[in-house]
Amino acid sequence: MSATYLRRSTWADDELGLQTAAGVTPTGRVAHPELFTGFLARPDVAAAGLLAVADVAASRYADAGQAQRLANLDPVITASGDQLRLESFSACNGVQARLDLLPDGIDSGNVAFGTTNVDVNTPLRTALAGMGRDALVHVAVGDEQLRISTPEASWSEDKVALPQRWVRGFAEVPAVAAGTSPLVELTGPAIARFMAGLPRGGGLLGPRAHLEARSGLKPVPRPTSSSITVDGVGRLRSAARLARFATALQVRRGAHGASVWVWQLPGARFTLHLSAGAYKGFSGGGSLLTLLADPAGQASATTLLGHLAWQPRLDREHLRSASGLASAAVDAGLAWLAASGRVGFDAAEQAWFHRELPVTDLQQALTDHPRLAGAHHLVERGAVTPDGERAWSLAGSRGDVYRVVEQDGVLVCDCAWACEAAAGRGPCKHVLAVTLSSTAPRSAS
Amino acid sequence: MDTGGEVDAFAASWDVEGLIAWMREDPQRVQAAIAWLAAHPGEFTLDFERANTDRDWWYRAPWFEAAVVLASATPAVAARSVAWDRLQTWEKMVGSIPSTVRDLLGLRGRQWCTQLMTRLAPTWTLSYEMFSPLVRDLELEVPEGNAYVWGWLAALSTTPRDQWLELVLSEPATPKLVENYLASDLMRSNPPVLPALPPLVAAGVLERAWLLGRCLELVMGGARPAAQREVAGLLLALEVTLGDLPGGVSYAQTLLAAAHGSVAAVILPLLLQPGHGRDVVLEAAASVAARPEKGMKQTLLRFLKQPVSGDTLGRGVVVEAATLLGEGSDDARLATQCAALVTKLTGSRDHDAAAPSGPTTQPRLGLWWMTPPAPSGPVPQPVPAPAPYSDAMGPTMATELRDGLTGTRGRERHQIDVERAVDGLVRVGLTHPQAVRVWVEKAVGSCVRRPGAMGQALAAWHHAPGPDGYAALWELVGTLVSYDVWDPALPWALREVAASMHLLRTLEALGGLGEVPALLATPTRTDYTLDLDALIDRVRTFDGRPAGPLDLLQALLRLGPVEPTRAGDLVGLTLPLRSPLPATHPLTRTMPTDGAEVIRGWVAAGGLPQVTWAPVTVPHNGTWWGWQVELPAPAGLLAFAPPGLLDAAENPFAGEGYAPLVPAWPDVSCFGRYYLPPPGRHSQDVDRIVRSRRPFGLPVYDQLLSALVAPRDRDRDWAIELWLDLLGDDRFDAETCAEVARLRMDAAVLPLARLTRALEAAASAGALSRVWPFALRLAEHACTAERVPPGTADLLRWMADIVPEVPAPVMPSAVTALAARAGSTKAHHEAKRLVAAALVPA
Repeated sequence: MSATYLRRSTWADDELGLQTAAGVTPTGRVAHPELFTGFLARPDVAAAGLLAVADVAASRYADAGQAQRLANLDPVITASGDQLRLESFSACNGVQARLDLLPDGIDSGNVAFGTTNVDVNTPLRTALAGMGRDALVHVAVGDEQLRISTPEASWSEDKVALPQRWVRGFAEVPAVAAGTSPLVELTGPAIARFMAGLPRGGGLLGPRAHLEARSGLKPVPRPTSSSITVDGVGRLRSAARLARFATALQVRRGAHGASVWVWQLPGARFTLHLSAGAYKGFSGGGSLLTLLADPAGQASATTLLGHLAWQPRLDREHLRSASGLASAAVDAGLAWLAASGRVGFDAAEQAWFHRELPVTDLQQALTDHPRLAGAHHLVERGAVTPDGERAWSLAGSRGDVYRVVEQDGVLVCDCAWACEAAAGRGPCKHVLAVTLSSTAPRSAS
Repeated sequence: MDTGGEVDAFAASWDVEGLIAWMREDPQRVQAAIAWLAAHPGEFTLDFERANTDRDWWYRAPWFEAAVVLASATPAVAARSVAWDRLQTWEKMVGSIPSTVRDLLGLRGRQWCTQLMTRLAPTWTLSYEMFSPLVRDLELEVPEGNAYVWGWLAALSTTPRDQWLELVLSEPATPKLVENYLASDLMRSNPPVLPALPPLVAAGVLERAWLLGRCLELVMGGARPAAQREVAGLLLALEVTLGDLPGGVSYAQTLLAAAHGSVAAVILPLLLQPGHGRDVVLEAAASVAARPEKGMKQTLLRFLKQPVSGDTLGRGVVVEAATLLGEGSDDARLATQCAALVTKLTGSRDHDAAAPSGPTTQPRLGLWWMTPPAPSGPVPQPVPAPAPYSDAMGPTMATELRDGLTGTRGRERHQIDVERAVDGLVRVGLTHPQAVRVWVEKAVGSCVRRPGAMGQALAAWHHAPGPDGYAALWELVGTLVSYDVWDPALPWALREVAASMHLLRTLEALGGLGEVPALLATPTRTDYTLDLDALIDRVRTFDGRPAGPLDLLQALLRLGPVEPTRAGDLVGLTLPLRSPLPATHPLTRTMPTDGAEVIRGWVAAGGLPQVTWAPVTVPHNGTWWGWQVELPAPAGLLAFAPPGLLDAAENPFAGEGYAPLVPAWPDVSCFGRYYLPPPGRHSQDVDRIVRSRRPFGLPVYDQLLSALVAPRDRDRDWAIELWLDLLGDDRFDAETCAEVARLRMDAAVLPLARLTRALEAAASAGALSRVWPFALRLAEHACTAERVPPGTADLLRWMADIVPEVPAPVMPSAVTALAARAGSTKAHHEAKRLVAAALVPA
């Protein structure tokens, strides 16, 4: 899962050249795809957004001492014909940032289709910081000429790798985003008031805060029915670069503490997905693991895959008619695709969008999820035995016996992980093992 | 003399210089020195005992060893084998030895030295002091890594600031050191290096553009606040202009939006130039409005107020910027100032709506009529009767007894079990004293074999459990709680006076086996309280048999306040007392004769009195909560208690463990806590005390307030939940809490802004009617002060916002007086709002 850039991204002579690594396009894997060439309506907004996405990639808000130190990872860019999306995860994987350059933010030019990494280096960051509103900047994402002129060797030896944490994060975030509901929308000066009033202290992560929606997301001492609890408000600070441009801020909250923050910008949109807890990275979730283990969902997804075509908004009705699948199968297929990282979810538009992660062994990366691997291991050694009509016993490796029962169509396990840590984190490996053993319904706790 | 003997001669006085000179004369001699080292393997082992007696060895031997190794080894071996960390201590870097060793290193050549420093660089053993002359003389490359830079910083920090320039100018590697410093994670405010660099820029040692570029890269990369503060100092010292920034105005806008406040504060004035035009000023205003720093908002407002701003930018732009700033701020005074500016420029008062200066007209939510949910904490349960014969002398009871005697479980958590065990033994012992004695001897035999004074005393009591053994232990406990005796084998719990009371009472009971029929003080409920009816019943069942004086005292302390008329219930009862001490002991002679009479007097006086609290200053230990009480019991009975049990002066820090001892005095557990502790320095015991549902006083409210204004969120959240329990139970004493708040305000340990958040939380949880009187008292005291304390504006703002919920609010005179006084502080402004809002008819 690594590639190289042909050269460093630069901004010189009013030409912003964002270099691409190996990517995926409608024609297949391409070494250095050219995804966009043209002009932006608000280069200052785009530059600030790109910097904010890069800030998130270079930040480690929480560190439980387990994560490998990764800094300055390059964002993933998806070109969808009429818009560009740049996405990144923080090093702790508790924050995902996405900048959507919308059609009205692209003045003129040609947006292709595909997904890849773009190089954002330190000199470029300095240059981007100086990009003004009135600058006439020609932007090129990928450089066809450069690729042709130097077909073999990479000009730069910089290697870009999409770590497994990112891959799993990309798989988890759509489910989290789709499960959120709108809480509040701030407009005008209320956005500045909110940003200025965010509690400080506690380092980069910041303190935990309960933000009351009825009073413009003002911090309150206790959670209320209309408040949102953010574990580590410092995770919102990357949006400070963009706050001066923001026209609206939409906040959505999920059932288990995850949240989605969407800043509406002139011609663009900046979205921050915050995980349920400061120390709970998206990569550690697994809410869609059951779907990955579902062959029916996989079959539907395979059928749908040919109809996605990097569309920025996937129309379920269109997919249903084009694929001939039933509505439920389309939903299951989309969920499977989300769990496999092939579609994202745009919370602002409440729509799925297509992207193909630029990794060669995507499926392997996802099925290597420790819980899913553990479930496969349990099934392989025959640890799952039916124990009644709607119950199963699983023999643990240390002689423990776990019991999974179906309650109201949902599989529930009595293991410690399921009891203590499972909220919003998907099924435990025992439930997955029961699901995989094909004797149980395809649902999970 | 052979070569080995010559090395011996050098080693006799650890003559490092001589050894080096000797080795330099003939390379073969190095081999002899190596052989000598090999023959003396233990000579250089770190030995602090030897260091104390042989200072030459301590100072010079490591250099001696290093000299031989550096003269002979490869760089890798030298890096690994020489005790670099020992050589670098300040006391070893004096004299001529270091320079002599450096000469020796110089002889090894540039390549050898470079390799050595490369090996040392990743560690913290690459000393700047040791190697910088070598780097200078041999023109070596400055080593990378933090260690060398750290040494340079250390050298700077020990140099007076007025000599820095001289030092850095004399160091040819300064540019590289600065570069390494900027790349390191050593940037901090002490010593702040960057602000001291402009003279080097002026002298041409450092290039201005390069230095600024590197520093701005740090800022853009999100460097730590300390590093950004240093950069801000540099920017100020260099008098940076927009022309210095790589992207000019746009770059400055990015910095203003995302940099640390210290950097943004330097950048803002660069953008606030009338000639910059509308977009620049409005974008800057939007950035400043979204930042928390009040200083920058004031800077922007001052700029907007200048006539030249309106003339150059146009009034419309100024109005737009002021509106952005005012509407985007929670700061009422700033909002008012912005609104006033807008009004002045437009002539319209419509913009006044932007400022929250008028009376609040929020719809009523009915908060006043709500009540917080009642707490659902555990309710004290009745204590089961003492165990019957078979259980009383079982293995479980043996464990309880052992733990009780050794103090390991004698504290609150298990004390009821131990007391029930002892009570059961006493009851069985009335009919089978010998059997019980044998069982006790066997059960506690192992635990009394402890080292130290307490072990000896317990063993003596064990062998002769009579009055003499008890007297010895009684005397010993008296010394232990006064901290005069240090017995390392003594369980720490027994140092607490409450635990020693428990031990003495247990021994008193075991000493009375066969005579005492039962214990008087065994609690009747799990909160350690004792019902008066149960005590009277027990006195009746004694039927003329004796009780222990300490047991009687404990029973009285557990009664709590009682109805004085109940004293009549004890008329006609008698209760002889049996002293555990020898008959000749003074306490035995002054002991009351009739315990029933003591109980009658106690009940007639109303039972347990409340304590009086006052701060006590303990020499060298600060100020603590101290207490005083006069118990309605004869002095002859009180004298049996361990010293300090009921006297704060003798026992200054022993509040722990009083809950089982005197359950009606939850405050006393706070005894031994700081007086007016800083925010967040509260006792965790406050939770247990508040949830005990018993009345408490100043010290507990002091602890509660300390928790409610704690700096850490989780502490405050926990305290608010606790406070809500108290409010839900309707036990919150606003007067007492306000009194403590007054003391804390006067001592400047009550952050009113944080307390306001707690008030806000309590009100939103339905406790407005119960916290409002407290808020009024707070506001009254804050407004009375000659200089209103910080946070008063926050308190008044919240009160102004919430006052529409209060029926017929009455404002304290101090608040109305503040509102009427001339002034432009935020507190003045909010006081006016509050008074105006309170006057709005319902």
